[in-house]
Amino acid sequence: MTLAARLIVLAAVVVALLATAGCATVQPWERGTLAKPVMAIEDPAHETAQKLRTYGAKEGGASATGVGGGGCGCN
Amino acid sequence: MAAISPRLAALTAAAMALPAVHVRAADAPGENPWGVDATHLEYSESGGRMNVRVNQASAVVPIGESFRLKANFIQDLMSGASPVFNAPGPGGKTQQVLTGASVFDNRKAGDIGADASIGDNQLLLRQGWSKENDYKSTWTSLEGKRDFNRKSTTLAVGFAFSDDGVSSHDAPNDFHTRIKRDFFAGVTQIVDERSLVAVSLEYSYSNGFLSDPYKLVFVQSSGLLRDARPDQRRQTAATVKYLAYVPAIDSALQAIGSLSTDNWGIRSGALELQWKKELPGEWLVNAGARYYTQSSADFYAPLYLSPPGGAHSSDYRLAGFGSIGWLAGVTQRLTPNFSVQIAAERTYRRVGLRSGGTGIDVDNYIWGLYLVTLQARF
Repeated sequence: MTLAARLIVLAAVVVALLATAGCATVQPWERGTLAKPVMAIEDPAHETAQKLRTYGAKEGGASATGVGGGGCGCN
Repeated sequence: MAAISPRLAALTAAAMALPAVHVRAADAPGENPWGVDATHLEYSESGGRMNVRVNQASAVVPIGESFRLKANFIQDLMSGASPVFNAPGPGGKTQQVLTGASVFDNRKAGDIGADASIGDNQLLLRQGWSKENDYKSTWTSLEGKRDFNRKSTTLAVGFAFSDDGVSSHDAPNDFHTRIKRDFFAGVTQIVDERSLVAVSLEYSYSNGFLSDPYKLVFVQSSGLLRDARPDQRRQTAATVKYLAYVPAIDSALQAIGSLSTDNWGIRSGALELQWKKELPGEWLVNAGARYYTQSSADFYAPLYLSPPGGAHSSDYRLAGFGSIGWLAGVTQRLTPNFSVQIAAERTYRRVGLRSGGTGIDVDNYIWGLYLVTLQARF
């Protein structure tokens, strides 16, 4: 099995576990802590976009961070 | 069925109004506010190499309760020197040959988008353009999100298509085509009252001219050749993000791990750890570190003894290397509608941190970036 196939299988297993875990729903009135600013799962959009573009221009690897954004002739 | 008390029903209704798993810190003015962001970024590399100044502005305009229009503009001003090839130096030690310090480019990019929220579903369509002297790009992306389990789970899928043209300063009108398609799927899950996890997977397929027109390779028996890479690239990446609030230190801890592989032979891994804390006076601070490692591409070599038969490149980004960096930031909410954010990152690239393959020490360098963002919500 190639590393790519292993990554896909690993992600599928984690997603399945998450879906199962999702059955134990945290009730809305229990989400006070999750609503704190430090618990924002998404970092500020501009900062994230610029950092990902820098990593993409200076590294040969990839990350699964969402779609969108055109290429550049970055050196 | 058991009856729900009016008090519990009211509490539930109020709690349901809390943001879901994709909560944003600056969205306080309302569920669907007007928004304007402006960012300035300074990027620089050690050794007199590249300097980049970025100005970015974006706006979000709500239309009714369910629709939003988005616009984004970016300008990059790039200058400095960039590595071209490696050559044997005095004493047999390999040395790096750079462009002159006069490389200059001005990139302008923008995108517009429309976002619709219907019940637990969200759909975002974006169209973007980018243009610089030797590179142009036109791209389209479509993303969908759906909340499940009373917003405990968010499923996201996305597709993007990018049609790029690559030329060089020597032949600015001779564009080569490069096409890229990205497929993305992710799940964000509330684990418990104090933690969240997001798992995502992305597959990218690129074809066309994937070489760098400015890079050369040094062949000891015959001299210089142009960089030549395979005309197809398939990349697969998985990323896991875990965020937990720790009452003992009144802070949140975040870990992001990524793995990727591609058909060029590059395997990479990254781990980022961050500490985030709110301080009195509407301050939010964060600090952390990022480790990255990759193996070299199958066709990479710092130097070639004889003319290579197939793909060949000495691009330092396709070498085996790793990096370690630190990052920090601070956000101050000036008023309920305005906030300012300052962030910095400094990274040390080191061949000794590679996870396989080959690389050379002369490619090591340090880069840093600093950015300031002003954010308004109404």
